[in-house]
Amino acid sequence: MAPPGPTGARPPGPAGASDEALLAAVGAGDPAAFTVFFDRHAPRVHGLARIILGDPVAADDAVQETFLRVWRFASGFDPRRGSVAGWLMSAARNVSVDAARLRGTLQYLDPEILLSLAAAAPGAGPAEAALAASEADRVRTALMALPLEQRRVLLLARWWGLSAAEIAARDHLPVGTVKSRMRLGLARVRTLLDDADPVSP
Amino acid sequence: MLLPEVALDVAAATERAAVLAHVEDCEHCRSALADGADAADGLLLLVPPVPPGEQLRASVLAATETATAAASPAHRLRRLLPAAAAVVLAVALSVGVLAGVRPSFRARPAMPVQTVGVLDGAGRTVGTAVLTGGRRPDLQLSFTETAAGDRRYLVEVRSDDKGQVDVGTALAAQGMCEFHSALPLSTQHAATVLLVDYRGQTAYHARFA
Repeated sequence: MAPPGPTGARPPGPAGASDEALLAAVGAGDPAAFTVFFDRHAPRVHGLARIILGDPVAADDAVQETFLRVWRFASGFDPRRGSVAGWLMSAARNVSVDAARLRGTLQYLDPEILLSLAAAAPGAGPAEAALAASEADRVRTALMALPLEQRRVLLLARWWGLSAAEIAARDHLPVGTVKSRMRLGLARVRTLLDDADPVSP
Repeated sequence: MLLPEVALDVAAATERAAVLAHVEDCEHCRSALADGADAADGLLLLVPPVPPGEQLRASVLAATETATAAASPAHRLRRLLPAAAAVVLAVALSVGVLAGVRPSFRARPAMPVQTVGVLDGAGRTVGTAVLTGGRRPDLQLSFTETAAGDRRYLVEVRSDDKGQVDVGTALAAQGMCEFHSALPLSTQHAATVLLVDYRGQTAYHARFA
């Protein structure tokens, strides 16, 4: 994800701190920062665990496991490798999918329905919420510009961890078709996000 | 090729290993993979949020009392090893345990990155400044101060070719300041970042080569 523009105008206090600053404080063992971090990101982590695992108890376990990993490994996070939100949501997805596969309960829901339910994650302060909303909005706009079949394949893969072979089997399609939709869809999203990047030279 | 599946994190282990081995030697593919992974990660932002129950919240926050954070192996090692080696090791550990989360192709050594200290008026290091070069130069500052209250600092960058450029305002709140902005100038020249307070005095600075 492209870096944000000037972010000097944040509300005061830890509630307005950036994800990077919060995670650095978490990495230093700051429980207050961890609480703010949890409150800011748990709804999305929990939402993902629910759509992957279904069962609320299993989803709660996955949320707990994900944030435990954040607590343990925040000090190792390198901001040059990507965004905090990307790191966190990748971990959340892998924890949840691993648990679902172990339980034999991995099944997907219709991503089109879920997309219509999604809103930008509630930020703790207006500046943080605006930042998160604009990032999510850019991705959503790019994604909605894709043909339905490409959008579906991208979400089945990224949210539920379904491989091209698994998607092909469930949707009764040739594997080559699925791989092609992944390639074209991802390339299109990349291009659209690049064009929408406010920091273009 | 298998790039999209690796970017979407759905490739089989052997295929993923083959792709990662390839991108180590191929900057074009590495860059494509990193961009693809960034776009793919963005998709996770669109998941519908579901607020956690109070019991779950209490459980998670309580778990941190028993689990170690600052005393985690990565942190302990970082104090014993020379700085550069410790960062590499800490990242390697976190990548290894959070399997598949931040693969090594994300690092872009071809894009120059400088990390220097943010210094106060007495020359003490109070934080770090990271300058990322490449097509979209980028400045990140992070430092702490012991003075009470919230402060604003004008962030100025002085370089040999462009003179002085204002890049924004940094807000220090409750002793913590974090600033992140694109830089409208080339990073091929040495640059100094100044944080200027309301009286016009330079409170902090960072020097890049």
